[in-house]
Amino acid sequence: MNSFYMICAAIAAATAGVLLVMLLVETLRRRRELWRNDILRRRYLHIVMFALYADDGAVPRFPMLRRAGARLLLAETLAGVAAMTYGLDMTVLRRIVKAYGLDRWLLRHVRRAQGYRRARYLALLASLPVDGTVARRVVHYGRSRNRSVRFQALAVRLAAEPMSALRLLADYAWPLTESETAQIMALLRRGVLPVAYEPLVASPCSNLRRVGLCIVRQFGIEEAEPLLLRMLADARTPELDAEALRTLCMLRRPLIRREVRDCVGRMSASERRVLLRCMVCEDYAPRFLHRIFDEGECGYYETMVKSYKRCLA
Amino acid sequence: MQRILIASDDEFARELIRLALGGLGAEVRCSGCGEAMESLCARVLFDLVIVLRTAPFFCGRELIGRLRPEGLRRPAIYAISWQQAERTVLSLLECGVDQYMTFPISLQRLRAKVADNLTRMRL
Amino acid sequence: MFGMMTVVVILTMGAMAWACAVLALAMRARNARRLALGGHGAALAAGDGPGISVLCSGVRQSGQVENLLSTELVRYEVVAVVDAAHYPACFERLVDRYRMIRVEHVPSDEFPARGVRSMWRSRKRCYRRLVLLDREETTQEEDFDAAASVATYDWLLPVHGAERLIPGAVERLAEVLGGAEPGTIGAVRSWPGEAEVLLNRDAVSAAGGFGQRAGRKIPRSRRRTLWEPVLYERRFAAAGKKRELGLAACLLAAGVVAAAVMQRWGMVVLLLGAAVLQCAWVLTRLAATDGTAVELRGAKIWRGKGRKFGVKNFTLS
Repeated sequence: MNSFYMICAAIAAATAGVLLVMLLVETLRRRRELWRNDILRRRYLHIVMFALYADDGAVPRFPMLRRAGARLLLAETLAGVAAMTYGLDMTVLRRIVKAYGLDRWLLRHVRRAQGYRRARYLALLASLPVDGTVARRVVHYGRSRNRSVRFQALAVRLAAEPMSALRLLADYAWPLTESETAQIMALLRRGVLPVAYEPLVASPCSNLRRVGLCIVRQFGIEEAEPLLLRMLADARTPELDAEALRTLCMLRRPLIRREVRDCVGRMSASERRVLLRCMVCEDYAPRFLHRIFDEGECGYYETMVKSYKRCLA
Repeated sequence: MQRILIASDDEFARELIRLALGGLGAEVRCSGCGEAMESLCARVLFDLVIVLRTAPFFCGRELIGRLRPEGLRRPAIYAISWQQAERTVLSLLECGVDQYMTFPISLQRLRAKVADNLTRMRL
Repeated sequence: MFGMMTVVVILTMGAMAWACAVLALAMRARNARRLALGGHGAALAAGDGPGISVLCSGVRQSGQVENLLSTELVRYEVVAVVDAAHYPACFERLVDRYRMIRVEHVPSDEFPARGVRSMWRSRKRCYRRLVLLDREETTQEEDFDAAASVATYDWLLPVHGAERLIPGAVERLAEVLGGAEPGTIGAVRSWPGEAEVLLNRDAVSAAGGFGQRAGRKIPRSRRRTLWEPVLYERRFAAAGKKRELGLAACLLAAGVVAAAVMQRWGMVVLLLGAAVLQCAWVLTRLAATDGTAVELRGAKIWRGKGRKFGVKNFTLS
């Protein structure tokens, strides 16, 4: 029995040792973040911004780049500048990435890391101005078991090869989530991807249609109404039909249509209530609602409308 | 010298905007988005305040009233955030915000707008 | 006695394994959070993501409502339930501050609620995210039902008493919801912190309201855990325990050495198990609060970094 206790003690001691080391590393990392990273990040941002405004063709020098974590800070700084702005001269950022080998450094870390850390390095790569070679080297991460890794690999390829965006999105085998669509929209808003909603909404691929619907909603493209109605009439994917209906609502288009009625008829009771709540937010009048919804749902809608100030104003 | 205040809790975004506004001949100060901004505005009369969030305008702190002394048109107030919803823009304009811009932002455009605003104030 | 010690040792080993598993999950969630923070808020831009209604029972201070409204999410609202008969000053303050006007309240069949005297919305567009309900004070669950009956969005976040939101927490909840395929999440729990749960409206409605412990009726496969705090109570937030933790660590180390010298291996296992639990707890808290901030006494303090945000002055010529 004594040996059993000794084995247990050895396991517990080893675990405690590992955790203590982790605690030490974490404390040191936080101290570094507190004292050094903020100052260094600010210096790097200064240097990048001055390089962008000077644009004299020279590669700026970044101090302390050999220190632990400094290269990651530089990559984060460049990615931050690229993500928060548009219309910048990307050749300067490209020059910095090439001169300091940030793309190769990030690829090396992508290879070594796992899970969300790998996805984070891929996300940084997607924000930096990288070329097709890098995109080809992340193709196999598109088959990862981790959803974030798969999507960030796609984002790298989209950023590096914007002309192939439609094909890449069509080939992506997993349905895009709302966050993923929002990230694609962020690329689009930075001017990295083309804003052509028609081929997207009319596409047979559900991911392309999802991105197309998001473009229509965000840019308020009322001309897309016939395409949306055709999509409702085709009734290929139920979850996208609900999204198309929501898009029509957000564009504040008339809903008394045969296509809308058929689509609402196919929806579950809870989906119909979600739609009704969306309609309340967009100020639809309850007058003609009985042509689409049943009596109980019309009552539910009127309850919500009556409780809203805007019907009294 | 004219004065600009950039208010944000995101230090990176604050620095980015500050650097973009360099060379305009104005004194640029930075602060957090909460009480630090309000106390600074109570002590110093700024020509332009750029707030990099929308929530301070919607939470009931009467931010515009605190930033802009009664009877004055100064400071001009710009809001910059990621939100693109129509109702957000309308609410901000109703609050008294002079200009609303969204991220991702064109630094050249922001600089031109700020320079234009400062010139008009000088006249 | 001997057999009991064996059981205790086995239980200690089990607790250690559990603590390590929790730590691994917290670390994984921290990496996910860092990935999301790298997006610089781009996910908020769309404005058509998941909508969250905060249901607040027992509001006593307008500062709490201010805190709850301080989020960048577009599809977001706060439904505050106050008993105007018991707390007339608080109610008047809210009505004045947010320019509220009385609107018609029609009882809903989705969440039947009794005792609602009146409903108020702001006449100013910028405060339309706030809804005020004057309701006779009974139980918190009934307050939540009344608030849910007028809520607009599909996700309900009940807030009890004096709880406040940690800045950025609602945005993180929205990211978790937006990152999953539609219909796969029924509830989001938060750990460590208060036992708050973000619930799907349909799930609560199907369970018969908040009084029926709706969170427990949602299948485990549809529950998610956000490994970071969402809410904090102002009176508990300032507690600092660094010195106590250091003292406990020293005592544990001394105990382990003493037990090992006396060759009491069972005791060594127990003490080392306690040390593992302590380390795992500290590490989990560090991972959970990495990058999250709480607002205390007007100053923004980054919990993970212990850093105060001050005013920084720069002059550019």
